[in-house]
Order: sequence, then C-alpha cells, then structure tokens
Amino acid sequence: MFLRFVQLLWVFTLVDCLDVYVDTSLPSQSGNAFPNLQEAAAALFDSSTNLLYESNSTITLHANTGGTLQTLPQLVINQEGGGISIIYQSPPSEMATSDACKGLPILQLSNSLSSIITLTGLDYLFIQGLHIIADSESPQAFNSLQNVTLDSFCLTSIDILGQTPVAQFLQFNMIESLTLSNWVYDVQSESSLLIKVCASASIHNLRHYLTVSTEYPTIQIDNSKPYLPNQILTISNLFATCNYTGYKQGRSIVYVFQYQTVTVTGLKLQYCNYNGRYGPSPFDFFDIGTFKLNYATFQHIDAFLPASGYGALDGVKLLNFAHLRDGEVSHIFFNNITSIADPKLGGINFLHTEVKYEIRNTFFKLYNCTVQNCKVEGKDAVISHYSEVIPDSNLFSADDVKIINSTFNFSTIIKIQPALLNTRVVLESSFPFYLHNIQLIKCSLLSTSFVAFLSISSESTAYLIDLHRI
Amino acid sequence: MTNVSLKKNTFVSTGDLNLMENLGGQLRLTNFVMNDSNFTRCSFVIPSTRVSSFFLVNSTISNINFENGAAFINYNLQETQYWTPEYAFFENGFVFIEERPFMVVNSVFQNITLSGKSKFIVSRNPVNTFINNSFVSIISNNSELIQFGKYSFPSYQSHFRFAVSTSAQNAIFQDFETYQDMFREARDILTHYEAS
Repeated sequence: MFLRFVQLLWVFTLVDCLDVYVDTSLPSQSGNAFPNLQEAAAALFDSSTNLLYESNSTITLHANTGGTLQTLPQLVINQEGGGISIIYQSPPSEMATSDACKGLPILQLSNSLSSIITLTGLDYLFIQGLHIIADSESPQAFNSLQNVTLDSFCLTSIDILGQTPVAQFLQFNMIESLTLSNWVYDVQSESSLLIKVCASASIHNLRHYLTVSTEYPTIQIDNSKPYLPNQILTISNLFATCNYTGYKQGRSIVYVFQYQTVTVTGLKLQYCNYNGRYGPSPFDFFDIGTFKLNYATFQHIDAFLPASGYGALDGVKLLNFAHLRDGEVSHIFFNNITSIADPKLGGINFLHTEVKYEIRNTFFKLYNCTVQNCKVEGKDAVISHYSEVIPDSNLFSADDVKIINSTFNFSTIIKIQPALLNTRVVLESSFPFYLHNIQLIKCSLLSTSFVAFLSISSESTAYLIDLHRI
Repeated sequence: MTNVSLKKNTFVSTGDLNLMENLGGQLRLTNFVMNDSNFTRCSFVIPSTRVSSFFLVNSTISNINFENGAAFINYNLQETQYWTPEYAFFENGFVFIEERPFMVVNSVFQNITLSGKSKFIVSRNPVNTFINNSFVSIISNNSELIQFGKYSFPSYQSHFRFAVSTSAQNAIFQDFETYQDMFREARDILTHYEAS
C-alpha cells in the first residue's frame, strides 16, 4: 500500500495530468499500469472527497483488454472543472453491426457489483471503444458536465430478474454538449436512456437493436423542467432493428419532448412486428420549434391488430409528430409493410401529425414520400394530419407522394382532419391545405379513401365561403 | 391539389367509402391525370355536410370504367346541412347568394365506359360552369353522363332581395383569379341569354 502511494505520488509530482493504463497481462500494479479497470479508476480520485487527484485524468485500456470483463469502483466525482477520458487502445474503425461489440473491453455497470459511475460538474468526459453493459437496478448519472463524448462504443441495457427496473438506467442531465457517436445500442431492458435538458445533444451512427418492448422509450430526450430555449438536437444515421420473434406492442425508440431545434437525417426501422394496447410510436417528436427530418426508411414491418381483447389497438404510428411549429419531413420510404386490423377500429398510421391546445400558425410540410408494396387493412390513415385549433391556422402540405403496388382495405391513405368546429367563427378566407404531385399507381382500394378531408362541425352556422380549401 | 396522377388502379367499395371524401372543404384539382382504372360501387369524389366549391382544371381522364352505381364526380349534396346563415349573408336588406362554383375547365374525358346505373358527373351546386372540355368515346349503358340541379339555399327567408357578395366570391377564388374571370364571363353570358 505504501509502495503504491509512493508510486502515485511520483506520478502526481511529475505531470499536471494523470494517465493510467490497464494491461491485463500484469499480475499487479506496475507504476501507473494496472491489471484491471477498477484499480486504474480508483487511482484517479479520492473517494473520501469525491475529487480527482489531477484535473485531467486518462485511463487507456491496452489492446489485451479486448473481450475482458471490467468493472469500476464507485466512481463518484463531484467537482468543478477537469475531466476523465477512458480510451480503449484498439477501437473499431466502424460500428456497422452488433458484431463490432465482440472485441471490445466490457464495462459492467451494476449497483450489486458496486460498479457505478456518477459524475457531476466536470469539464469533460470522453469514453471510446468500450462495451458498456448496464443493468436497470439503479441509474448511472452524468450531471452538469460541459462536454460529454462517447464514441465507437456499445451499450447494452439489461433487467435483473425479480428487480423492478428504474425508469432510466443511464442519465445525461444538464450537459452543455453531448455527443453519442458510432455506437450499438442493444435494448434488453424496459428502462430508458435519458438525455435531459442538454443544450446541444448529438446522436450519430447508431445501430439500435430492440428486444424488450414496453411503454417507456429506449431513448428519452426531454428538454422540459426546466425548459431552456435555443436547445439543439441532432440525430443522424439511426438504424433500428427489432430483435424479437412474434408480435409486441410498439415502443418508442426515440421520444423527443420540447426542443427548440431538432434535425434528423437518416432513420431506418425494420423487421418489427407490432400488436396492440396503444403502443407508443417508434419515433415520437413532441412540441418542437423547428423540426427537420430527411431520409427515413421503414421496411419489413407487420402489425396485427385484432378487434378486441389483448392486443386490441387504436393505431400504431410509425412516425408521430405533435405540435411542431415549423416541421419539414422529406424523403420518407415505406416498403413492405403489412397491417391487419379490424375494419371498424384503428389500424396503422405510417405518418401522423397533430396540433392540439392553442398552438397556432404552425406549418407541416411533407415532401417526397413513397409507399410501396404495402398492405393495409383497418380504419386509420397512412398519412394523417389532425388539428384541434379553431380557426385552423395550422397548415399542412404534402408534395411528391407516391403510392405504388399496394393494397388498402377499409382504410384511408391521406386523411386531413381540421379542428372540430363547435362555435361560430368569423370567416374572411378559407384555410388552405395543399396536396401536390400525388401519384397512385397499380393499387387496389377496397372501401378505402384515397383522400379524406374531414371538417366536422357541431355548430349550425352556414358560411358564405368555404371553410377550408384543398 | 395539383399534379395528381392515378394510373392502373382498381377501386371497389361495399358502398360506405369513396375515393375522395370531402367533408366541408373546397376542392381544387388541377393537372389531374387518371387512366386505366376501374370503379365499382364508389365515386371518385363526393362531398358531404356542406355544399362546397369544386374546380377541375387542365385534367385528363381516360380509359376508365364505371360500373354498379359508380361515379366520377358525385357532388350530389343539394343543401348545406347547417341552417343558420352567418352574419356575412346579410347586408343592407340584401341576402347574399351562396355561389359555390362547380367548374370543369380545359379537361379531356375519353374512353369512358359507364354501366349499371353509374354516373359520370353529378352536381347540385348552385352554379355549374363547363368551359373548353372534350368528351371523346363515351359509352353509357343504363347510366348518366351529366346531371345538374336540385340545389336548395340555406335559408327560409326567401322574401329578401338577393345579391352577389364580391368579397365572398373573391375569397372563394383566392389565388385562382383566372378562373374567377372565366366564371364571371360565363355568368354574364348566361344573364344576357334570352330563350327563343
């Protein structure tokens, strides 16, 4: 122990940052090299004060740690400034599939193993090349950090048999700049990854595998309480695959709540089978100022929605947008989707947008959307817009929509439903909705509406001009 | 709706739903193309609840079969189902008429087959205007090509003097002024027409 103290003192006095190494070939500590991550991490901080010995601390995992199981001590740091980097020496060049996780050092985070990480107030955290397996018994948290980057990593969430999972197993709270890039997320837990009130959050190149379905999202991004303006969220290349057999209720892969600016480029969802009980939308964007989504593909999706009993459902929405002030969604491709539902009940929505409460002057523009080789049976619409605001100043336009080689039974392809008019309004002009460049080619429609415009009124006023215009 | 194209489709209904259900909205279809399709027991477009303005402009409909009571444009609503006219209906002792133009302009209909009590165009709107349209190779078997009339005004107060509301007409034709000019010109011709 004394020897170790002398060695660490030597390191501290020579450098203003602390670099330690993990080399599994070592039987015990040698200088600033340690045989495992737990000992290396313990050398970075004073567990009695929860302060780093040096402001800038780096743990480098030697290539021979690949595939080994590692844990942390109770790594609880609470200090202003400084930071920690944990870097695997041989990170993969790309994270194209879950196979890329196999050669990475495995960091197991578990309360029962006393392997936890809670960081507060640091300038930075940088993690690269680890496979993090976190259970849902207790949350791991990163609070009020300036910069957090996790790169070229895998994250597996798991539930423990007999334990009730916490709502969020991994929390990023009040991070100034958060980047999660080149990663594989294997969701085997009901618990969520939470990104809360982060000024700038980026998710890039994510391969997402979903095994467990529940009403809680796999990634919950929440900018409420307190709501901070000018928050920016960027998501690019998020490819999600369902990794289960049979049918499950829908689960949000990404749920975003209250953001000023959200930009999403490249979404893919495939091989998912849904059944009922009001399952959430796989991609759910709620209450956002400026929203842009470019390039999304949904393919090989089955929804079986029986009329009643377990599994009965009122609509699965593959893409759900609520209360977007300025929404632009383009290059959306739905291919090989089958939805079988009771004709009198809700079926599947491919894309749904709605405006409720007193939100006015919104604009939703859908551009370049293709529906191909699909079979839809049931009451809901493929593309739907719904508003509850009177008079309806919330505009909707769809441009370049192709429906090809598909069958629709007792369904609706495009449904526009302005607010229920239950009181007399002053009407000086019609409220327009725009549908441009719409193609329906080689399709079969049985008791199905191609376009349903449903301006329902419960008041008795006859107006001299048309209420709405399409 | 502009540049809408429907090709090589089959439309069948059990009688409850139609291809375009227009509940309370003006519909503008420009550059609409539909060909090589079949309609059985359903309409391409049908309004409900409110008598609504309709425009079909620069469109081509070809090689379409309508059978078993099917229809193309089925504006068969003869009255708005709301009977309390808004204040804008009345001004200085006049009651403004509900124009609700139904216009078909610069369109071509060819190789159309109607059978089994089908109908091609039905309009009960108050003013119907057809300008520069071509009907070519239409076969009608126990069916109707065009049917107009039976419109009812949404007020019982028939003792009023009637007038056209310019502002209401401008609102109906907003961003569609070319067709407003055609509409007015056609009305003028009709007004000056004297039956011999």
